[in-house]
Amino acid sequence: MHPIDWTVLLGTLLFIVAYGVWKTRKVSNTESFLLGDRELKWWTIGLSIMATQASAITFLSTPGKAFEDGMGFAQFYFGLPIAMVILAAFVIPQFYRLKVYTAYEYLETRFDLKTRTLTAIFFLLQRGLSAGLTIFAPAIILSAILGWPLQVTNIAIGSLVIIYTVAGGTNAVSQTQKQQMIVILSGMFIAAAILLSKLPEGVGFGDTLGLAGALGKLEVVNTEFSFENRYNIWSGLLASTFLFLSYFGADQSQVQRYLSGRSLTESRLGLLFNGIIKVPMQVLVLFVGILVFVFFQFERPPVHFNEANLIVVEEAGPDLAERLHVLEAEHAELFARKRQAVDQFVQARASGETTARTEAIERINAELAQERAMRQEAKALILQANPEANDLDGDYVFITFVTEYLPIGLVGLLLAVIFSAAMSSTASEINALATATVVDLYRRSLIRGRSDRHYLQMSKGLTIFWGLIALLFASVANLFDNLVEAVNIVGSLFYGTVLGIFAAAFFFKRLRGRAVFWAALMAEALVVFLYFGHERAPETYPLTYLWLVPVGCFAVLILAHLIQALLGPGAPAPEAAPDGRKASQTGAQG
Amino acid sequence: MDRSGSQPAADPDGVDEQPPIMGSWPRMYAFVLILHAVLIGVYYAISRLYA
Repeated sequence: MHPIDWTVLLGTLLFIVAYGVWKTRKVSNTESFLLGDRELKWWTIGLSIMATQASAITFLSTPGKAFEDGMGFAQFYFGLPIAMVILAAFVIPQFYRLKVYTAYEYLETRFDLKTRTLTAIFFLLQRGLSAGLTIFAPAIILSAILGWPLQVTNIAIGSLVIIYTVAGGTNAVSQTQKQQMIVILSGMFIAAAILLSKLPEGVGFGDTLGLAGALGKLEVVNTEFSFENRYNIWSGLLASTFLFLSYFGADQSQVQRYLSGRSLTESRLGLLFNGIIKVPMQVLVLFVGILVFVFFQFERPPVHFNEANLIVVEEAGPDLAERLHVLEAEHAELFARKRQAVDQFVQARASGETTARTEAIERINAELAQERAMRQEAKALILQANPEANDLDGDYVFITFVTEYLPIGLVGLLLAVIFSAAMSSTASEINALATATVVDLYRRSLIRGRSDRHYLQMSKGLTIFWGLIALLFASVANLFDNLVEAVNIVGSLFYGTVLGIFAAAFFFKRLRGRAVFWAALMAEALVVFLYFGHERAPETYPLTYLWLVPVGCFAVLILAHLIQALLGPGAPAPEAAPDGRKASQTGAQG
Repeated sequence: MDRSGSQPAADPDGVDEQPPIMGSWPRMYAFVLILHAVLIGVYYAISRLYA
């Protein structure tokens, strides 16, 4: 990488870290550390919420997904604005009324301590695993690109995050996320503009859309309902709404972002801002992937996008290396033929010749089918050279374009985008993990009645602890089929049950803690059973992971009603807040 | 945006505070949902137009 790119990359990252540390240098008590003195404005909250959700995986994996499968993944986010409205209308006012630090505190007020503790543990399990993935996923790709050992990249991301999160707590997380989102959004717009500018002369934006559409890449909305098809408008509007209700309403890494708002109004506006911006942003990221796809119809792509895998084949012996060279030569010939057909399409489109255009598309599709077969052959060679290798290269598509085709300076900026995204998600996660551990377990059930200074030190210590746990998981994680899906699958295993607990709390006032607690345990067992059932026998258990969230949610609600009908209501909910405060009182816990 | 100093005592949590635009929260929510529906319509039109 050019020294200017290194300067841009390191300068951007160090500036953001220094800004976060300097801006939050006066953090001196637990409320300040965990809730940022509740002083954030709506745009900081909104950007912080977006930055927490948009991990580096979003910017590495999503364009690759569009490159392979088109824009349909956008439908996954269709439930998000609906969830934002429901949360702003019904959930945030409850959290504000009780002045809670965590979402789980509310559950003790509504149900009992064991339901609060169980839900907090579900969060710690689920988010603890994901935090490792949000470091590992980009680290493995950045390591391959930068030539760094994986552990060095892991430590680079992890240590920078730990420094400013320990120094400034939740306010540092939000302040740095504001800068990070500015870098991220600027970087993606610049990438889209560069991609368009690099298309051959005479190929315009209309041709780009025409070519991508004719090759089936622009189908954003699929109206055909199917449980087995992961992404259609129905799973997006129904199942994803449940997933996002759970993620934004019951996952402390998000709840903490809007609980640090200056007022209820600021928090509501922050969530609604996210509801308006998030879907178009995802469409932009996917569209960048489509532009990369079109770009590689004019520029010859590698036969496999993970160059490190090709080097392994080269070094595995003369036989495999020779077979790879033959395959690459065939791939070059195929590209030349396909390029002719693509040029024919552009000319036919300009002249309005429908028949010629249809012929060109048929030729391109035939060549693309052959190209897919060649890419499969390349993967077979990689697995022959190293049976342990990960042969999937979708996550390397965008980064290959960045490093190979962007001008000097912008390579550093786009790598800063990916590092920023990794840091912003990880920071929220370890900040929330430390908060839930201190507030819901340590201060509530383990060590009570100590000074605020003690809990502040504990919060900082646990931030380091969870940062190190995330680094440990990042060091030993194996790569899943697709990184975005891996994170979402881990979430789906717990989100349904957690959402069911919160739905019972908010909307079923008759339900009591005992019934909800046992229903939650049984629902979680059902969700895990259905997930592994689908993995082993998808014909018998057809539900894909997105549907596990509504299943878990409804299972909690139905089982809780049944259990309560059988066993009776049990003890009533406590009248006071968990630490003895009356529900309407304000002020920090101690 | 910070109205904490002028909040009435009856609404210390700001539950009744109105949004800075649109006049009421239900209108704000309707705006977000209608905009979302329009965008889905645009995406659907793109899907059909370039299919």
